[in-house]
Amino acid sequence: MTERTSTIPFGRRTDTIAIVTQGKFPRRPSLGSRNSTGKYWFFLLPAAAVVLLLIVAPLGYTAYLSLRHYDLTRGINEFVGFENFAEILSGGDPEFVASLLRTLLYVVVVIAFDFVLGMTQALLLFSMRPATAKVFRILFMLPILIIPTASAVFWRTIMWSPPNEQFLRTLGLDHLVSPPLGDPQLALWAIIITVIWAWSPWVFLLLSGGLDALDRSVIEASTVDGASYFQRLRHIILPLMKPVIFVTLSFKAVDSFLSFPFVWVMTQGGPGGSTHLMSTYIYEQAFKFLNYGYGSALAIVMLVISSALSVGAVLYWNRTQGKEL
Amino acid sequence: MAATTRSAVRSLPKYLLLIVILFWVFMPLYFLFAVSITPDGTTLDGLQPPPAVTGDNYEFVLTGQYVIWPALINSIIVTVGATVIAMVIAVPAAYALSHLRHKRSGRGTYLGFFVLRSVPPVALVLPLYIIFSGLGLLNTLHGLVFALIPLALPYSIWTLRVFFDAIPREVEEAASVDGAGTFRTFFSVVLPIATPGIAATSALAALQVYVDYIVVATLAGPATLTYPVYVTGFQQDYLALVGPLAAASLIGTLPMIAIFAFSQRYMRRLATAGIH
Repeated sequence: MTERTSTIPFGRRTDTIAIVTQGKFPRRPSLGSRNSTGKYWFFLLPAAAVVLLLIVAPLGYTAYLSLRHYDLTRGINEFVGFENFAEILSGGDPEFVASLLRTLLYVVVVIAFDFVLGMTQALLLFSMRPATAKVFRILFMLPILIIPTASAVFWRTIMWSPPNEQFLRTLGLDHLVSPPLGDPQLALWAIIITVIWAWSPWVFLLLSGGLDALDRSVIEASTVDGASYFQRLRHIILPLMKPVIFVTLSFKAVDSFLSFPFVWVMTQGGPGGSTHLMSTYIYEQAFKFLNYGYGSALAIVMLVISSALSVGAVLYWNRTQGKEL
Repeated sequence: MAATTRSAVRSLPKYLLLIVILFWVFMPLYFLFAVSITPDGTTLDGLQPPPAVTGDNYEFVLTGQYVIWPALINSIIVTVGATVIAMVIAVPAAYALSHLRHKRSGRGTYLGFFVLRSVPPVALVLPLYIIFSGLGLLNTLHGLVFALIPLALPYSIWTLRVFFDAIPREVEEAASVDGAGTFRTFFSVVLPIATPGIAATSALAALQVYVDYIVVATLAGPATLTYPVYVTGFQQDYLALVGPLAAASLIGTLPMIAIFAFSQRYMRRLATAGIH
C-alpha cells in the first residue's frame, strides 16, 4: 500500500508542487497532478458496464448452469453442485481430455508453421526493393481476403473431397492417399493445412510490419562486418524482432486455442471425433446434444485454462523482458 | 561477369523459395477462381485449363434463389453496428488507461482486457443462446449486434491505448493551462490527434466482427444470417453447388478488400501495437 503511493507518482507530485510554488499565481492543477488521475476512471465506466453486461454476466450464467444437470434431450434440469466438474476432472470424459490434448497440438503446429512461413515471407520482402516488396506484400496476403468459413467450405469441397480433391491431384497424390477428411488419421492435418493457408498471412503481415520498423543501418553494419546471412538472422534480426514475434505469436496462440469455425465447417469434429478441438467438442455437447449443464461445465474448464495461459504469457513477458506490457 | 554469376548463384535459393511460396499461395486461389467460372458438375483436371467457361455461377448467386444480398446486407448492418458501439466505448476507456498506465490499478485493468480476449466464444454463446431465447432476441439483428460487441471491445481497447500513449502529455497540459477541462481536452485536442489510430483500429475490429461464425451461427436465424454463415449453406443445403460457392466466396472478399485498403496505411503501426 505504501509502496504504491510512494513510487512513480511521488516524483510527479514534487514536480507539480515545485511548479505551483514557483509561479506567483494559483493555478488549476495540471493533468499530471496527483488528484487528477481519479477522474480518468470515469472514462472507463461505459467499458466496464458493457463488459459486465455482455461478458461477465453471461459467464456468470454459464457458471450457474455448470452446477446443474440441464439436459433437454433427457428433459432434466436440476441442481447437482460440482458433479459435472467431478466427472470432467476425474477423467470421466476421455473424449474431452483427447480434445484438450488435440487443441494443444493444434496450437503448437499451427503457430510453428505460421511462424516459419510468415517469417520467411517477411524476410524475403525485407530483401526486396520497396516497390517490389509492395507488390509481394499484397500477393502474400491474398488468402486472408477470403472469409475463413468460405475458405473452409471451399477447401473441403474443392481441395480435399472427391471428385475434385484438387490439392492431392495437383501434387500427384490422389491415387496414393485416401480422401483426408474421411480418414481419422489425416483429417486434422488436412484442416491444419487449410488453416495455415487461410489465416497465416496475418502472422506474415504483423512480422513484416515489425521487420520494417527495425533500424536498417544496424543490419547493414553487420553485413559490412562480413557476417553471413544466417549469422545476421540469428544474432541481430531475430533478437531485435523478439517483442514483435512474442506479441504476434501469443495473440495467434490465443486465437488458435479458441479456434472453432474451420473444424466445425469442415468436419464437425468427425470422422469419429478425430478432429474435435475443445471449442467444437463443447459446442457439440451444448447445441447438438442439448446438454447445456455439462457443456457449461466444460466451457468453464476451458475458460480457466485459456485465462491461465494468457495470464502466464503476460507474466512470462514481464519477467523476461523486464518491461511491462 | 564472375561477380554477377556468383551473386546469381547465391540468390538462387531465394528465388526457389519465392516460387514455392507463390505456388502455395496461388494454387488454391487458382482453383477457387477456375471453379467459379466453370459450369457446375464439371471436375477440373488439376491445373489443366477449364474445359468450358460460364458466368452462370455469378448469375446464380446474384439473382438466383439463394442470393447473396440479404446476407451481405445483414453483414454490413451488424458489422457497422457492433464496431461503432464498441469503438465509442473503447476510445474513452483506452484514453483513460493511457493516463493510468503508471498506476498499478491501471495496468491491472489493462491486463484484464488482454485476458478478456481469451474468453472462449463458446462459453459466451451458450448462455447467450438461453438468455436471448428468453428475451426474444434470437434471430434479430440488434441481438446479434449485442452479442458481437465482446468480439471487438477488448481487442480495440488493447490496441488503442498505444495510440494515446504516443500523444505527448505536454499537448494535453497546454490545453488544460488554457482553461480546457478534461472533457474538452479529450474531445477537441486528444481525439483529433488520435483519429488515424482510431480509424485503423476500427477497421481491424470490423474485420473480426465481419468474419465471425460462431456467434451468428448460434444466435441468428434464416432471416438474419450473415455472409460467413451464408457461404456455409452451400455445402449443407446445396451439396453439389461448388461453382456458386466459389463465386460467393470471391464476392465476399469485396468488403474485406475495402477494409484492408482503408487500414493499409496504418498496418505498420498496428503491427507494433501490442508492445510497449
